[in-house]
Amino acid sequence: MSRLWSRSALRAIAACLPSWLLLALLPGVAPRALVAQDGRREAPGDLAALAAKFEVPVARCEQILAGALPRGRNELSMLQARIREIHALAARATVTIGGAAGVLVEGGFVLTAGHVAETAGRRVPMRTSDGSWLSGITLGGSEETDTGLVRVVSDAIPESCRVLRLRNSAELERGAFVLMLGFPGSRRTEGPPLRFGRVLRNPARGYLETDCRMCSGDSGGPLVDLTGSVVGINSRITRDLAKNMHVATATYLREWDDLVASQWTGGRGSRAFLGVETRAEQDGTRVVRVVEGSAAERAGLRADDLILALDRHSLDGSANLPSLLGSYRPGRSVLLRLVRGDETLEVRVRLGAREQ
Amino acid sequence: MLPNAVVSQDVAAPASKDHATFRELFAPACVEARQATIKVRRDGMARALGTVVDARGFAITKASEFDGATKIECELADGSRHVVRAGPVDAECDLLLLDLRSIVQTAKPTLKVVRSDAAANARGEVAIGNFIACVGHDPEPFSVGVISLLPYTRVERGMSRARLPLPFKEESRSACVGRVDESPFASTGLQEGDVIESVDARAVSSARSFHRAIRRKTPGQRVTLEVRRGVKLFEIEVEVEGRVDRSGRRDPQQALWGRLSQVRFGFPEVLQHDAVIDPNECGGPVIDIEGRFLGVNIARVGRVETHALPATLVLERARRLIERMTAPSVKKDSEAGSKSDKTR
Repeated sequence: MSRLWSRSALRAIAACLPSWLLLALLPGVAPRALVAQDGRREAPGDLAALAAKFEVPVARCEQILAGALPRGRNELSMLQARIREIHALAARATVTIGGAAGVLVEGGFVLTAGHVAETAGRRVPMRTSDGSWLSGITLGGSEETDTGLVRVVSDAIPESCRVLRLRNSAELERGAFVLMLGFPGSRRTEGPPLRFGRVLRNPARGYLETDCRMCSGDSGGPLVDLTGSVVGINSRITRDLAKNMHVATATYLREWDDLVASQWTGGRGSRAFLGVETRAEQDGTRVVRVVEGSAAERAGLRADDLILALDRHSLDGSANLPSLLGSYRPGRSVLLRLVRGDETLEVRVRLGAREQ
Repeated sequence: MLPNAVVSQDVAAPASKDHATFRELFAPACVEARQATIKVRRDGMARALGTVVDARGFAITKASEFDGATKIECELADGSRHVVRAGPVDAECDLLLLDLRSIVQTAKPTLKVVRSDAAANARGEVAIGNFIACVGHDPEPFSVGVISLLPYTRVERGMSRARLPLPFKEESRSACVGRVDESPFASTGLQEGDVIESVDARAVSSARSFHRAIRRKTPGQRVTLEVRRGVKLFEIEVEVEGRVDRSGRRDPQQALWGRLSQVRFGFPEVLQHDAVIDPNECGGPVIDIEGRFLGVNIARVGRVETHALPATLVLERARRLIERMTAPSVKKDSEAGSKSDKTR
């Protein structure tokens, strides 16, 4: 499995706030302007209107939106019209966070993935659908379940933005139609790309699985049902194109109090950092670039080195370096076996921390 | 929370959007377009689909799948197979014109022209979230999805761009190789003064057209260069390089992308949708739920995206190709024209 973060996501998120400010943002102290936006929480269009337009009974519309297969052109057209409506809504609630995404939800929060938020108490700039910037501060999250929560601390959310409701994903039937919004930040396109799919697995605990295809950068983006509510957050993918994992909103709701209280579980956001950009190859992991001032540079790693193994773990394509490093703590010393030119070297590296 | 929600998943597997039960919903929309869809084979192997765009008997398909092909055969919706003549190529759009006129003359009733509808392609009509269906020969489409992004001009991602930085003589008008003895190309056997005549049987006439031909390739792909040295003509094979991956972001995940098209960049305009197709299923029509022609699948680009050339662009380019084919005496004006005529 591969997490959907991109390096720029990690870099773009920089400064930490002093902890006294963090305290001021704990529950009960809702920033001013966020109250005003509650009037704009924006339910999607009226289902009755769609039902009338396409001559489909409202009850039948509801069934279809929940995953019943449409019968005939009218019902299919109704479904299509609904997808367009929900997309228009969700696209304006999706924000760019570094090289990944997040979604504005009720209460002045942004839901994102844990590996996008990275750690608690960090200030994150977020770009909204109209191109303006919001400031947020990361609250709690979990490295195990990949939940992440950000509180918006900007004075106001732009008029054109939307704020989505959160729905407990446990209410979703398998087969329910869902929309996924991807990385919105690209300069070449307008807004986040839309992908459509259905719920394939919805276990009581763990990831929600859909056939909405995702790729790197889509992390943190919303999975939205056809009532226009967030039901999941993009997290990771597998080699199987039809296996796309989203953090279920059920998980967020279960962890909600901890998330709001800035509890970070698992690693506390301090991931070990080697400082190489790599490319997986057949026999190992090729170093593409060495980050200046990193542990890798101090240990004398060079671009083009082929890393064969880290401690006892061979890196011959099946294992991947970033995920392996994820299990190490900063400060640990590791032994890298690598090939440089014709030589095979063993290099000891004392791992740094992600935040330097 | 509904108590039955979690239980229900153990009863019956709900269809994925790719499952036939969902695709069947689009069968009524495909009735006409199926007849305008052809399967195109190269030396017996199905390499692409094709779309009939002109009633006289012209179809287009994805050109790069047929680079240097000797025998192109097309299969109609009724299962009949016919050897067809390849026409000119639109290199920018990667479209190859196929001449099906002889089939039309033998009155094959199964061949139809794709139903283009200016209104369907008007601004505002084509919207993100609209269903699209990728039509093959089965009653139901082989893949369905939604429009992910409206037509936009595709900008290559830096790292994906193929290149082959051969040194060329600036003063020469042809693709005349400059000093190579100290470049990485010394080992290829190329010498100063050699002239590159073609790249994978596609003629090149200048350094610029050489680089343009290379850009359409994929990093790591091997290409055959036809080289003229004095009176001698020979071929060498070289590997296309990729531009350095500056982001470090896409490459490690390539294994997660599935099979992609070899030529997938540099189109003037694309419509992005999320229906998964095989690289060998490009060239066929993309329709909406009313059965109207929206475009032609031109490339499988990534895990999440298939790119289609919008209908208006396809029809315009096809019209130009047909003109070129039916009026061969007309002086070739564009570089692309002379290029493709040399190869075909």
